[in-house]
Amino acid sequence: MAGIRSTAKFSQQSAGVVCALLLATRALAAPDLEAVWILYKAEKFATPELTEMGERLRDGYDFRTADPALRCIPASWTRVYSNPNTPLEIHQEEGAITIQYELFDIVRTIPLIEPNATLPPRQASANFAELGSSLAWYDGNALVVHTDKYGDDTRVLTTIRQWAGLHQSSLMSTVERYVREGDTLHVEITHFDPLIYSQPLVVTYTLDRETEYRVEHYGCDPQDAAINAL
Amino acid sequence: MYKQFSRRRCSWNTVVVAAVLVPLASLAHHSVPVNFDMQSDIEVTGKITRTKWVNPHSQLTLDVVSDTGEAETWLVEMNALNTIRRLGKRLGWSTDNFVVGEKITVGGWKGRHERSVYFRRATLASGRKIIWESRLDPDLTKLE
Repeated sequence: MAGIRSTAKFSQQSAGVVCALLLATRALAAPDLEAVWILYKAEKFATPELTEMGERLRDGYDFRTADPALRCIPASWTRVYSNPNTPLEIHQEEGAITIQYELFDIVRTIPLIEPNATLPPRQASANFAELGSSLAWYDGNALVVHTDKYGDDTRVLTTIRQWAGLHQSSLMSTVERYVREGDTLHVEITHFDPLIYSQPLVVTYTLDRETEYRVEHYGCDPQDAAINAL
Repeated sequence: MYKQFSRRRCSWNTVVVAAVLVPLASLAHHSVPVNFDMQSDIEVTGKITRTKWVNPHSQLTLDVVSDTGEAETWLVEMNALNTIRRLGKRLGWSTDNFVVGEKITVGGWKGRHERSVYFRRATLASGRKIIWESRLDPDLTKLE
């Protein structure tokens, strides 16, 4: 009996050590994304495959009235990342990733989870409820961020260039993958929304590490955002 | 004064008529190419009546006399104040170079809203020329 108890105890200790090693390995393997990053290169949109509803919404988009930025509200993470010349800073902490964006003074704190762990309750992870609720984990050399709960309304996803008028519904969820390559950060955002897109919409960004500029206060005021205030 | 250097030339008469009929349009923080025709290049000369140094887009208003002698108010849209502060140092100019009451000629992209232009360069009252130039790749200048 004593031998069995001893073996069981050893097994428990071994399992604990293995778990600790796995966690340590995972922690060591976490890619180092901590830096200020900025967009100087054009983003790449895959051709959107729109549903009938998506086409109808795009065709009815009026850039003069339907842009959430009229009220200093970011339309989506895709719209946020598409903004050039505006830095963001990534902080990797124990149990969370914090990303501070200069645009609209967005601060995003994303709980870091083990993929197979019991998920914590989802709650807004940024200081704009329109930007949903996110969870993050590491997958090899990538940081992965899953976001949903973008809100109950259907609104524009992007106001950028030829893609202005693409929409998102309350069913939208996104997966962001961040991979660092030296002084470059590759960000890929995949949008899943069966009401708007018949195929997932993928948008990719290449950010440069910024050593000269820091994230500064933005202070968007809806009174200033609208030119008709003149 | 308004000069059109566009590859797509449009009639000055059309602009004048539309300017009389349409009040200064409402714009907002936006995609620049959605609101400005980046294939165009116009110049507008007038007196600065107001400066607004803010994010997401700084703005000037100009009192302009059209070719037909009519008084107009033009809107000059510029980059975010934070970006102007950062890149202006490198380019050798700042918001202080834009003085209310002084004459200025602004060159840039013609607005899809009437009487608006997106700032790309200017000639100040002193004759000094200043330009807007960032580290963006050519495609991304369309997003500024």
